[in-house]
Order: sequence, then structure tokens, then C-alpha cells
Amino acid sequence: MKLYITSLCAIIMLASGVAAQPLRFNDAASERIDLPGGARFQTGGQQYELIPRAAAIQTAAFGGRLRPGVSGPTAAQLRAVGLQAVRVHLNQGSLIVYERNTAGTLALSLAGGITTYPVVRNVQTGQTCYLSGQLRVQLKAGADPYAVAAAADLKVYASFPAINTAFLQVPSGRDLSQAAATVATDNRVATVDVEVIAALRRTF
Amino acid sequence: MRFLFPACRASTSRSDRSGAPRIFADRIKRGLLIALIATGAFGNPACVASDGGDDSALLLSLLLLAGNQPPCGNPNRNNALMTSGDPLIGEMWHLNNRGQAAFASGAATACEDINVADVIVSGLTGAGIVTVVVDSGLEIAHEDLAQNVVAGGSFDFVGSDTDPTNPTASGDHGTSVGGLIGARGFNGVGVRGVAPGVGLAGWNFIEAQAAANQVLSLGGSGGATNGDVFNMSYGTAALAPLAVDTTLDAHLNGPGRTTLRDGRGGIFIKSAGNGFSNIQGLGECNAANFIGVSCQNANNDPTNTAIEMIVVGSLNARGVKASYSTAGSAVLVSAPGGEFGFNTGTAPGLNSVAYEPALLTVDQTGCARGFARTNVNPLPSLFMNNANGFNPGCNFTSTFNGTSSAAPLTSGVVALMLEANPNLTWRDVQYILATTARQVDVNRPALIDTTVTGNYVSEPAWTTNAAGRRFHNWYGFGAVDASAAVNAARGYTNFLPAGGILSATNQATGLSQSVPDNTAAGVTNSLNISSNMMIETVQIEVSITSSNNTYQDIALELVSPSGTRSVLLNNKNGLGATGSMNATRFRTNAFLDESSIGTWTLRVVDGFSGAPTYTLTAWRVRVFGH
Repeated sequence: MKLYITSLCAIIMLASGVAAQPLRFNDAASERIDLPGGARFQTGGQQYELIPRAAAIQTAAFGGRLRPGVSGPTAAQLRAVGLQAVRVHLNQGSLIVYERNTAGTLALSLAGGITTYPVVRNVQTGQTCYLSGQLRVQLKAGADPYAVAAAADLKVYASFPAINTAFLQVPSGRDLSQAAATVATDNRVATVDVEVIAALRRTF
Repeated sequence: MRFLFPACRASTSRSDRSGAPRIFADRIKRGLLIALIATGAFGNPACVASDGGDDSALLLSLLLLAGNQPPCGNPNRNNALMTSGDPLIGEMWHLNNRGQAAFASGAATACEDINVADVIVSGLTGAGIVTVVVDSGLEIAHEDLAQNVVAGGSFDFVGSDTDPTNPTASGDHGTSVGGLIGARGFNGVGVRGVAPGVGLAGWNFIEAQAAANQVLSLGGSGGATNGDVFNMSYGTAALAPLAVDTTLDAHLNGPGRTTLRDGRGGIFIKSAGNGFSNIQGLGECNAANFIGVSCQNANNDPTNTAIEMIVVGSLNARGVKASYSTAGSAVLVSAPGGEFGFNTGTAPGLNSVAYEPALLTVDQTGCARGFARTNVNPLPSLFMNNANGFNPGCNFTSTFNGTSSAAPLTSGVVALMLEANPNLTWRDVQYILATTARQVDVNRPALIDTTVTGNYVSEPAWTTNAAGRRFHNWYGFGAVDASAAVNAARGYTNFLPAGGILSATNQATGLSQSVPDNTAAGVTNSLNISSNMMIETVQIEVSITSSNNTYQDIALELVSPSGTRSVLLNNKNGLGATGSMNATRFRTNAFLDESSIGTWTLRVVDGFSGAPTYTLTAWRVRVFGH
């Protein structure tokens, strides 16, 4: 659905309270999140760096699916549910990105019963992305994804045998890059990538 | 209350249901009414509401005898199946456009709709077909959806259950999309979907956007594998080139073509985008707006460039491109998507486009939730809070719009086609939609950017290719015509094998061709295709380096061996963010039915003066056909 008068991004700016530096995915360089980078890792042919002081959550996890521009949460509201939020950077569709007062790692974390996702930056393009917590595994023909997952102490989130692809869920607290490296050593695996969400889909 | 003659044309203000006086044809007044109609007092046809009496057919006959011609020359548009059975059917201009405005105050043009009357009167409803609404949710218990919802066929990725009802208070996009496709018809409740008997399922991928969830929603496994049509009223709003999702691509190329629908292939229908003049509101569209081209290009969403996608643009109620509808060579067809549906009576002082009609559809149940909830300011129209008495319960909205609306109307039409002929493959469906579409906005001139040396044709007018197919980047092959498409489907026997699409590829690598600044001639590179096929669609992949990693200046065009020119990316586009154009994929449908054999030429134009500088380094052409 097309919004009239007020564009989605304008709503985001109002909701986030950071009109000068709103963050959106696939944004212009001037609007990237302005927080220092941390550990770097390679996946899918691209190099990324963790933004340790940023984290993402799904709106569905917070207070009954808050929506952008309606009653987007403030940092105080996020703190009230157990998240260590300093300020909200982005409230877009199904995603909230906030700055936190402690540095995170390249792993999902659980705070206040809410899963938080690492936020990363594409080193080449500066594009801001987040990690879903899943590994995209291209299996060799005939390989059993459940056996591959078990060998790495992971679980299968979804398996698509017809295209030899499986998505493995990495549990909270476990480094995604290291988990991918572990799976990559399995000789039943062709390739493995940490799933990077670079482009949020929005309804039209 | 039902409406016998629902033409509440705004220009005949006697019938504006947002508050203006209207004609009510109870039995006492009917004789007088007929007399007035006979004098031509109401034009043709009048906006007439009936009290639901049983003499509607008699009144119709009398009206016709009195000299009123059937609308659009089609008596089926006056058939009771098109004028009654659902209380709001009379305002649904996208199904039967009589000039009514769907409670907005702007104008609609009679006959500018999906032309579904003949299909409905013939008895088709989409029964037996399942449409999967891949979206933000689906209110499966809604009073006007529940009868069509496939029991257990939906999935909620948030709660891992089979109820994707979205608890948001501000309107659930997927529920409204589902209503456009398949709100139950002839049930005496609310609105009607294009396919009023189709099965509906909702998969809320938008709420949990992992790649796996999209593939699952599109028939990757589980319940969605029972889907026939997959509606995707969503997309990206990127300001830089995006890479193809390889897993999604593999699914579409594999099971999507050859496993779904018992091997005939799933039908994937997707919105083109709402970014013609604004993508993210950051000024990225200033240049595009200045010359009048689409800021966002349908090709900028990699999913749109998959050959399995039916990409749909949006038309307003006057039958021309809606103000926001993203254009591009990946668009196959267009369908009504409307504008914004406001009424001057409740929301004065807006731009004129705000008052043009939007679409009536299902909304979240209750006045506390949904697009039609209380305390919305400005109130779009009296319908939205039931102040005019036509929306008791606030379970419906009259302001739904966007290519989000155009896609589900097309999905509904495809459901009707599949009911008429279940043997159609995914390729057949695309071919029939393209070849039965109705050309619109015929005299739209080309857009010429005179600031580019040599006067660059940034957006061609309608182009007739060597096979006689007419194409425009704003419209694809034109407006979806349900009657023509279903008729073609009924008699269709020349099935194109779902898994047997032919392709031919050639590529050039290691190039180092500098693109001259702001010059229409640009640079060209040619490749030969030696296979002789009738073209269905064409993909190209392009690698171009940019001195500052932005691509706003770049125009791309492809010229077929027959000499047909297709613009795949406009100059002064919205790609102003940093990124990489590395094997970036584009698609064009403009060459349908031409021959593939011969020389294909890519032209790269830098159509914006000054930095950055560009170099073409590689490209590949891949032609699909039979």
C-alpha cells in the first residue's frame, strides 16, 4: 500500500528522533549508522564488519508488533523490556535497530526474552545489514542436512532437498562466523554463508 | 441494501455516497424513476440503489427499453451477479467501472477496470484454485474471508502456527491484499474479490524476513506447496544495485517451475513497486522527477528479474499509470491499483491525486483496528469511520492502493484462468496475460532528456516490436483484461512445457569501455545469439565500474536482432547510494515473439553531466523462448 503525503522514511525519521542521521538499509552513504566497526568476517564473497554497539530486533517480538510511525518504541521503552538501549536508530517495517550501551558479538543474544540480531556493515559499500542467525548451506548432492547440522551441533531451520540447500539455525551466544567455519569443514558441504539481510522487503 | 445500478459517478453529484443526495429506488418511487430515466435525466447509466426488491430484472429491462445502453457495450456488466450479492460491489470500480469513485471525490472513467463481468457471469469464481498471500498476515477469521480460507493452509512465522492474523492495530496489508484477490462473493457481506470463490492462504514472510521463510512461503515445502498462485505485494526499495538471492532463484528455476501445480509450475505475481517519484524521500528522485522518468526501476528489485515473475504495474481509475507506479522493462502487465481515495468533504486541501479513487477491500475487523479505525486524521472519507452508514463494524477500507493492489487483482484473474484451464503452465499464463492485455494511454509520448548531448530518449513511447507486440515500460503489454485472458485460457492447447523453456546465452568479459559523459550515443557492445527461438523474455547481466560507486547517471538499453530497442534502466534513476553493479541482472519483456537469432547490442549511456565516470567491463545476454 502506498502511503500518502508522509513517506515511510519520513515516518522513520520522526519515530527514531534522529532526523539528521536516520538509518535505512540500502541507504546513501551519508545515512549509514555512525558507530565504530569491530571484528571483520568474510561471507558470500563480501567482507563485513560487526557494529558492536548496534543490535536489531524484530518488531513482532516487542509489545505486540509495533509499527513504524504509529507508536515506535523509544529507547526507554526498549530498556523497559530488558534491552540495553541508548537510542533507536531505525524502526522500519518488521525491524528495529538500536544503539546499545554494551558491545555485542557476532552472535544472536537473548535479552528480556527477546532475540537480538548482530548489525554489520559491508566494508566495500558501507551498506548496513543485519544477520538472521542462520547459515545458508549448499550441500553436495545426496547429503543429509540433518547429519551436517548435528555434526556442527546446530539445528536445521529449513531444508530444500530439491535444490540441495538447507538453512541451519545458530543458537544464541554462538559466534556465527565460527559456526560457518565449522560447517565449511564438513566434506558433505559445498559452500556455507552467514545469511546477511541487506534488503528489507517492504509492502507496496 | 443492495445496489442495482451502482454507477455513482462523482460528476453526477446526486449519487455521491459520501454525503451528497442520492437516488433510492424503493417500489413507490420506481415508476417515477423509470420515467425520469426515459427522459435521459441521469445519463447512462444512472446511479440507482435498490431496496433489494425482486423486480430488478424488470427495472433493468425497462431501463434498456428507455434507451439506456449497457455500460461499455457489455450487458453482462448489468447482470445481477455484477451488481448485487455483496453490499459494496457498487463502489468497486476496479471490477466494474461505471465512473464511481469508491467514496473518494475524484473522478473515475467508466470501463477502466479488469473487465471481469463476462467471467463472473459465466460462473467462474476461482473455485479449486489456491492463492497464497505472501505478506504481513491474513486475518483468517474475517467475516468476508473466512469462507474462502483454506483450513490449515496458512503459516505464521512469528508464532510458528497456522494463524497469520496480524495483531497490529494500524491495518494489516496482507488482509487487504487477500480481500482484493478472494473476498467471498455473493454472501451479502462487504466486498468481493476478483475470484470470489478462490482458496486463500496467508504466509507472513514480511514479519520474519529470513531467506528461508520466503522460499517456504513460495511453495518451498509444507502447506504452501499446495498453492497455485503466489501473490507478492512487496519488494525492496534499494538505492543501490542488489544481488540476486541465489536460493530463491534456485527454487524458482527448479521446483517453482516443475514441481508446483503437479509439474505445471507455480504462478508468481509481484508488485512492480511504488517508487516512480519517491523511493525513500531523501531527494534521490529529484533528477528523475525533473525529466519525468521512473525513479525506481522495476529491475532494481532482483526478484522482479526472475523469469518466473509476473511483475505488475498500477493503473488509476482513469486507466493510466498511477502516480507512484514503478516502471521498467520487467513489468509484464498492469492492473488497477488506484490513487489515495480521499474525499474533499473530510480531508480538504490535499493535492488532486489524493482525491482520486483507491480500492475497496477488506480491512482488519473492528473500528479500533485497521486502516478504517477511529481517530485517523485526516479522515479520508465518511466511509472510513462509517459516518455514512456503509461500513458498519469498520471491517472494510476504501483507501487501499499501490502496486500492492494491482498484483492481487492480477492474481485473482489468474485464478479464474486456472479454473477455466487447469493445464496452463506458468509460461502459458504469462503469454496469455501479455497477449490479451489491453493497450492503455496509447498516445503517451516518449520522454526526451534534452540536457543530454544528442537528446537522449530516456523513456520510449509505446514500441511495437518485430512480432507486432506493443510494449511500454510503464505498462508492460497493457491492462489485464480478465475476459480476454479467460477466453484465451479456455481454448488454449498449445502448452509451453513448464520445465522445457529454451535459452541461449552469450557474454563478453574483460571489457574496458569508458562511457562518455552526458552523451546520448554512449558506448555499445554486441553479442551474437545463434539459436533461433521465439522469444518469451530476456535477461542481461551487466558489470560497470563507477568512480564513486553510484549509478544514478547510467542508462542501459538493449537492441534486439530485429532492431527493437528496450530501455532497461533510465538515466537519472534513483541509484544514488554506493554499491556495486557487478553482474547485476535486468529483464525485459519487450521482445516477446521476436526471433532470437542474430546480433544483440547493449548500449550504456551516461545521461547525467559530471562525475562519476563509468566503465563497462562485462555483460551477458540470456534469451528464453521456444
